[in-house]
Amino acid sequence: MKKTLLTPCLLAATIATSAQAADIRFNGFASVVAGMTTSEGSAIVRNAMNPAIIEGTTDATFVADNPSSGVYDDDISFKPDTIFGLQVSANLGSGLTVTGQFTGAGGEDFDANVAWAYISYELSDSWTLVAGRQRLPFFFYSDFLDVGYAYHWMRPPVETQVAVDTLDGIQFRHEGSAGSWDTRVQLYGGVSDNDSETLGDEVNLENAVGAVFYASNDWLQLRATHMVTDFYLDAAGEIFGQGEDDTVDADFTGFAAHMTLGNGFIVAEYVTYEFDDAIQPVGWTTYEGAYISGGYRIGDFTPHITFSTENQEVEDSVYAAAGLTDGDDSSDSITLGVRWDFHPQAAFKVEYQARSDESDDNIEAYYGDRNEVDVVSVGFDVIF
Amino acid sequence: MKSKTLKRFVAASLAGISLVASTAAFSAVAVIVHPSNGNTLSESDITRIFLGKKKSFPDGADAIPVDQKEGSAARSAFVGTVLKKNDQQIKAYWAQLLFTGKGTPPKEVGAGADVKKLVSENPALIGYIDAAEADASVKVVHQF
Repeated sequence: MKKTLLTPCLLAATIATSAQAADIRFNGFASVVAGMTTSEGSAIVRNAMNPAIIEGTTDATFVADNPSSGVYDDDISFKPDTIFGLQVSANLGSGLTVTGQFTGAGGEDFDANVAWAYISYELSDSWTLVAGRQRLPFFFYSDFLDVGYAYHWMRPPVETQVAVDTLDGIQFRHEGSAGSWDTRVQLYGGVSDNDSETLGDEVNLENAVGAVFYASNDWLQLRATHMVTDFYLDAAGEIFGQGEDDTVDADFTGFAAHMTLGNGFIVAEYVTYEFDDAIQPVGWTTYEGAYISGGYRIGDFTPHITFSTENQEVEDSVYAAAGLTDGDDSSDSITLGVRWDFHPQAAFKVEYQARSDESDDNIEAYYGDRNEVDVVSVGFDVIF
Repeated sequence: MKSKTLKRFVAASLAGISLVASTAAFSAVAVIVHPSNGNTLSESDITRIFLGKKKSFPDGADAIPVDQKEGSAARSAFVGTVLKKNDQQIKAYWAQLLFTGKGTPPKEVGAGADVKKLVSENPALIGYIDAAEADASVKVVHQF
C-alpha cells in the first residue's frame, strides 16, 4: 500500500502521454456474426392458457446468446451473436480505479446496456475490493463471454450459459502465488435481475453468495466455483407461488480445466445447478452441462472441435396433467470450427454445430424434438 | 457429412504438427532495469511482472513493466521466448483480464530507444530491448 502512492507519480513524470489528473483508458471489442440454422427439429406449440391444447408445430431454433436472447432460425441473421462493447477506465491512483463497460447486443436490438460499472480498490498487494455492477462468475468463460476475440469459438458452448449474467454487489479478490502456480480467489455477494426473452420472464437472484477458486501455471488452468442464491421468476413466480416472497433455494457448482500443450489446447468444463423445489410451471430441478474442446494452431489458423452435452431434469411440473411428466430434457452437440487470426487485433471465424435431441420420450412427446438443430455461423471478432 | 469434416480436421491437424512456427530473425533480448535496481530477477519473476501477476520486485519495491510498440521485433521475440506465448495468445490473455477488471496490459512506450531512456530515468520500470542496444545507462538483468 505504502508504495502505491509513488507509482502513479513516477509514471506520470516519465510517461508524457498519460493524462494529468487521472489515467483514462478506452478499450473496445466488437463481434459481427452472421448465422442461420440449416436443419431443424420441430417444436410443439401449446396454448398458453391450457397446455393440453396443441396449436401446431414450429421449426426448432438455436439460442446462441442466452443473456441477450440472441436466437437463430432458418433465415440468415446478423443479430444473435453480434455485439459491440466500449470500456472506459480511470485510474485515480493509490489503487483506486473506476470502470464502465457499455455493450450493445444484436439480440437486444443494440440497446445500450451497462455490462460493468464498478469501483475497484486495492486493499493490499493481494486483496482487491470490487463494488458495483459486474459479471456473475458462473462459468469459465462468463466474465468475457462478450469478448469473442478472447476465445476460439464463435461463442462458448451454450450448455454453459444461463439467462442471468449480471451481479450488482461486491467482490473481494485475492491474488497470490505458490511455487510455479498463481492463484486467484473471488468471494462475492449481491443481487441480479435479468430480462430473458427466451424464457419470457424476468429471472431474479437474491442473496447470491459465491466463491471462485482459480489456479494457473505455464500450461494448466484450474477453476472451481460454488454459489448459493434465492431464485424466482417474476411472472411465473407470481402465478405459481414462487415469487419474490416465496423464493426457491438454488445452488450452482462448476469445475473447469484448460491445458495448453505447445500449439494445441484442451478445455473442459462441467457445471450443475439445483433447485430445492421444481421451478414452475415447467418443473426444472437439476441441470447438468458439460463440454470438452480441443484445438491446434497451424500458423494463423486454429481448427477446433467440441463435444457438449446438457440435461435438465423435469419433475413435479404443474403441467403434468397436460403431458409434462417427469423425465430428462437433453441434448448432445458436436461443433467444428476454424479461427483465422488474419490481423493482430482481429479474427475471422467459421463454425458449424450439430445438435441432437436426446430427451426422454415423454419429454419429446410434450415439447417435440426442439433440441434438434444444426447451426452455421461466420463472423469477425475485433479488439481495440 | 459429419465424419468427412472430422477426417479433414484430423488431416489438417496432422499436417500442422510437421509445421514449425517461424520467428523473426533476432539476435537476443535484454531485460533491463534502472542501474540502481539491485534485484536479482529469475525468468519467472520477469514473466510474472509482464503478465501482471506480480506488481513488485523481490525487494518489495514497485515494478512497472513497459512494452515496446506492437509489431517490433524485440516485442515479438520477448513475448515468444520469455512469456512463451504467440502474439495472438498474449492479446487474448490481456483481453480476458482487461475487459473483466482483472488487469491492464503494460503501457506501450515506443521503440527500444524509448524504453531504454524511460528505464534509465525511473527505478520502478522494467523493460526489454535488443541486446545490441544495451549500454551503461541501464542494467541488464537477463538476456534471452
